Amino acid sequence: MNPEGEFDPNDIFLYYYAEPDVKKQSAEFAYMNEEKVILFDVDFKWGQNHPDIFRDYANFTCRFTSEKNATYVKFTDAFMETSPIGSMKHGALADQIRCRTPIWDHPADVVKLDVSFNGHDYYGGYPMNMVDALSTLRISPLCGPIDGGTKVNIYGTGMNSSVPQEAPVIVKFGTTHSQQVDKSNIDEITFSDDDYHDELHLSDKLLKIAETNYPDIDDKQAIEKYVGAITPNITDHFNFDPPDVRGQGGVVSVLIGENVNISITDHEKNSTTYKQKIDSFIECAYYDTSDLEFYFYRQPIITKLEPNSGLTTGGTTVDISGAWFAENPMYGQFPFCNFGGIIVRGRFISSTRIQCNSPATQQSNAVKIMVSLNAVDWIDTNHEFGYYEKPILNDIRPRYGNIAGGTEIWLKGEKFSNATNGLKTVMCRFTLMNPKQPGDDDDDTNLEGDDDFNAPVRFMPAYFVDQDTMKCASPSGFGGGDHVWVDLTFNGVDFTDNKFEYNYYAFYGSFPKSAPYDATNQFI
Amino acid sequence: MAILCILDGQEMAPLAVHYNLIKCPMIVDKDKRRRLALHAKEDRSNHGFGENDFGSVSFALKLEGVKQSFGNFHYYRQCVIDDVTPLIAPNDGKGAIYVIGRGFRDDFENSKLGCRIGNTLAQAQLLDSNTIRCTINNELPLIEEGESLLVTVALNTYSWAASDFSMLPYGVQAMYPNMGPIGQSTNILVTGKGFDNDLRENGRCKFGTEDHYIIVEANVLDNEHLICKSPADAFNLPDGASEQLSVPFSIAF
Repeated sequence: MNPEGEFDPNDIFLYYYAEPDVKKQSAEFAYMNEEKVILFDVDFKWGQNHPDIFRDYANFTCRFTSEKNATYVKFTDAFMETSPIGSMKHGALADQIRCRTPIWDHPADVVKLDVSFNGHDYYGGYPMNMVDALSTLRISPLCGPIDGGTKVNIYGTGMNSSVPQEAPVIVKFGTTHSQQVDKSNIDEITFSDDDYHDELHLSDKLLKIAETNYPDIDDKQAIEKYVGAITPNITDHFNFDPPDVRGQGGVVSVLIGENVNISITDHEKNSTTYKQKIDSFIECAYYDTSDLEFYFYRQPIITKLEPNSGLTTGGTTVDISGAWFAENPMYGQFPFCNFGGIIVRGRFISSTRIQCNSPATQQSNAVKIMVSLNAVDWIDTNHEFGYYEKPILNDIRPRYGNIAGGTEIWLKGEKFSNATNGLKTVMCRFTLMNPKQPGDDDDDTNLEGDDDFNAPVRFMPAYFVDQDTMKCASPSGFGGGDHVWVDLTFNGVDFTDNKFEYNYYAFYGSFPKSAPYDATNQFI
Repeated sequence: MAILCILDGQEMAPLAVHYNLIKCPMIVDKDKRRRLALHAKEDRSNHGFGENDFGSVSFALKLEGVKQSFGNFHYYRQCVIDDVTPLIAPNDGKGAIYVIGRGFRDDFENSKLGCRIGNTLAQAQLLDSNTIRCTINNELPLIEEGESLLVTVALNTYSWAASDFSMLPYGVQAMYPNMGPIGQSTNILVTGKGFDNDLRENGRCKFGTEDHYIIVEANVLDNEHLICKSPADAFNLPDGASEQLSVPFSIAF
């Protein structure tokens, strides 16, 4: 018998170790779409175990076992770490283990978290919550001015699912600006495409390009809406001075995530020698979970707006001039006007001009008119838009006047308003009734063009007397015997439905200028 | 269209309204008119400056309430024509007619002296308060026998003064023959109008220029015909001049 010879000799060594003492992990929860860094404080019992053996032969593994479904188990690699991380202090021994959570398929699950040093024997069994995925699905608005301050609504999931609930969530605009989510401004909602489009004041047709790459949301799907993200002021990135045109803005991603606190080592910058332990964090923002982009634009300026009054029935086209107007369907950038709180989408004409149709209103008053390119950040035009009821013209007196003009014409009607009194847009319009055409029998002008043939349409200022009375002076420029239509406008655009005939006469003189005092059968 | 005439502040309806003419009453104040009439009757022999028969009032129209002013209208006392001379004159319009009378004046606003011979207007020039010189620029029409042209004046070229004086213009329309031999006397029949007038006995024919002419007596046959004999020996031609010559011809009374 050769008991020594029954086993072939080999180079396989089996190391025995004293069971380390694994403390509870650093995080209570992880978002199911998050690969979250978690740390375990571990007593490696270095008095009994040898660090070199662990470093060379240990198989550090984290195991996540679903409590709902014990067959659903995921493993992630783990690493032995010295606290604070990166100290590289001579002689320092590892005192913690670091691993990441796996992508989890079941929301609101509680998992049992174990750590293994050999990939086989697990220790711990600590509970951990796998909560809803932290994601952004929509933002509103999609763009804003470069000087920031835009209140952005973020539609997403998981923003309020942390354990504990007050664990911070971070929103980032681009790579440099982040802010903590105020969770008191998060509401559970059922998503509606229509409501979302209404909030943007844009139709799905106009948003078609912008929404091309958006993640799908089912109608009535339960999601969260965070009201309170504020865009940063990015002008300091561009270092421009007016009128330098740099810094017109651009596109940044809107990201959401959390920061995992860790302790790291502060080093001397020059020598890289250890200084002290400091608190830091690892960003866990999910760049691949969102196709949402926010577009920074330069806020336009307004120089002119006309007309600045219109009918309460709406529909008056207001022409607005300025600079930096833009339309960018990919980022929901369209011109908007705000008439006393009523928002209407405008019409982009050029970078220096837009048009808006005034909305209908119930009251005759003057309202502030503002302009925006995202329906959120409004520019005060410093103009007011005067609403007035459509005036009704019932009569004019007199109906005749001298060709010299200056005849004071009284206009009787209803619903005359003094809201626009004194403005140059309050006018009487005089239009020739039966304009002559070139070639008419009585055409003695020898003018072939139509433009120079007849007296042009003339406008004269009209003045408010009372709600039923306006007055204006007849213009010159018409000939004796000309018949003209007279109507009235308060904004230079919308005219009364009714119009009345006014006739021009010409006096060439009186004859005789003298006569015998006792003349009979004579007349002037 | 509501139209009112406003004379001296008094609104009156127009007498007539046409598309290009409005006729307004000339007299407004009936009491004033009566006063003036009485005054005129008492003072008819003295056409001086009466207190109430001379002055200006405003005149305007009101159309649809809009007043259109035409300045002042002036009242004056009508002038009187006592005599006109001459009453027989050529119709070629180159002469002057003197009107003698009373109350001629142009010293008020809107005065516009005028003469009228028949239906022909003539320029009037005030020589003094009793004399107006009428200058006819246009040819007067020749009239038929028994007719005449009334001569009158007005201080406004509209309200013509009553006149008892008529003018009889005369003029030549043709002559036959219109040529004759030098050195012989040829009977020339002149046709025209106005020959049978009060001065027919003074009828004369003139041959030649203003510098060199011969006047012969005319024999008036009737209002439209007279005969003159061309002078036989009076035209002396310069040496070398053509023996064919034409001379102006005219008649006078």
